[in-house]
Amino acid sequence: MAAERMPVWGSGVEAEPGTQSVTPPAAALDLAAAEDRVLVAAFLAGSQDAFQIIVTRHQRAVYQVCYRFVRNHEDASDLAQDVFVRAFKGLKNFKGDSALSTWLYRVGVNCCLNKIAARRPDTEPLLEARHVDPHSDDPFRAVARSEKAAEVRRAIAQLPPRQRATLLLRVYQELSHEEIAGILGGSVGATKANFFHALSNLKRLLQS
Amino acid sequence: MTTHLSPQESVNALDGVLPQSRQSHLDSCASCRTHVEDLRAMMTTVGDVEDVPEPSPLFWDHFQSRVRAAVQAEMVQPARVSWWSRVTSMRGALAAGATVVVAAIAVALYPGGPVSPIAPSEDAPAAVADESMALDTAEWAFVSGMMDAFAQDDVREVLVPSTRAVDAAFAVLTSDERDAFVKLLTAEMAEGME
Repeated sequence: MAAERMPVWGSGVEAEPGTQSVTPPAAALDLAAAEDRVLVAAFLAGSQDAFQIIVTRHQRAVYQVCYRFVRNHEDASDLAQDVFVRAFKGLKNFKGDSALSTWLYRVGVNCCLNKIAARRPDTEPLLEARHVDPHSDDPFRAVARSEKAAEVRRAIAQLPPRQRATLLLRVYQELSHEEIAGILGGSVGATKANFFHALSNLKRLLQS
Repeated sequence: MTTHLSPQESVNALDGVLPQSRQSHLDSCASCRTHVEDLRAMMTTVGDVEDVPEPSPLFWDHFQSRVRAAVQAEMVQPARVSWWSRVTSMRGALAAGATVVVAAIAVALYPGGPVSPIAPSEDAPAAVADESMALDTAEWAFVSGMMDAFAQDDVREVLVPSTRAVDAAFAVLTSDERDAFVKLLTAEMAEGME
């Protein structure tokens, strides 16, 4: 059987601030400052470094989106990896009518929704829920804040998947309703209604 | 009295994009105002618990390596074949099977075998015409109909050897055999030109 023909991914690119990376080659240096659409075009034309720059540029945001859905590092890193593998195979379908980040979020949200649909309900890791800095000015207030945060996260985890996705993308990723509609599919009006119901349900869950 | 804000309008109010006519209602309706303020408070509550722990700086390098390895693993995997591709790739086999079935039917209907195109030798006893062995019109129509059901291309795919098969067969011929083959082919082509 024939192997699927895909661009080759080379190595060496400038890392985002705060992360380490190997020394980038000259061609990668030129691409490192390029806009996303230029990187996509370069990747589709066979550039070996363009995709790595895309990963470097968006890995943190993609990881954060995934983390907010699954609330643990292992699953989040697996999902983020899956997002970029899918992106590698699917970038030829990227039309450029939205930002690359929005397109990656769409891939990520689909991966996450599939993941959470296939597993047991979320449970807040005990250590994460109880982690409090003992050196903070007011440890008691810190404990209360931490417990409140865990309670809110548990409530978010109980929301229906589309409401949860809408809430996370709106509040944390600060995406517009139009962008969220593009990611989740459906109208802007339906996205706003989802957001409204997410907040209303959250209030009800936290009061119960 | 105007209607209360719909869910969409409540979200528009949160975003500060409520049309003036509806804003007037919001200003005068305590119930809607309370509801929108509740939504705003809930947004703040959710925003306050934003806490994706920052992974170790080494994680990002490790992550890039993982993505690279996963991509390379995907590249060496055989392409996935859809069920429709599988069905269409079996077209030749299906046509071959169907041809065999038709041939079997024909043999069953005419157990004496096909009429030999070679004239019987004069020494051989004359063939006795047996009307019971002949196919009647309805049987021929059935067999003929089955044959018509196959596309020409499918039949050709089964019966005509591929270029690779021809090349392989030619490669094992001896020099003399190749010369003889070329002569035969040349004669055949010359005949076809006439």
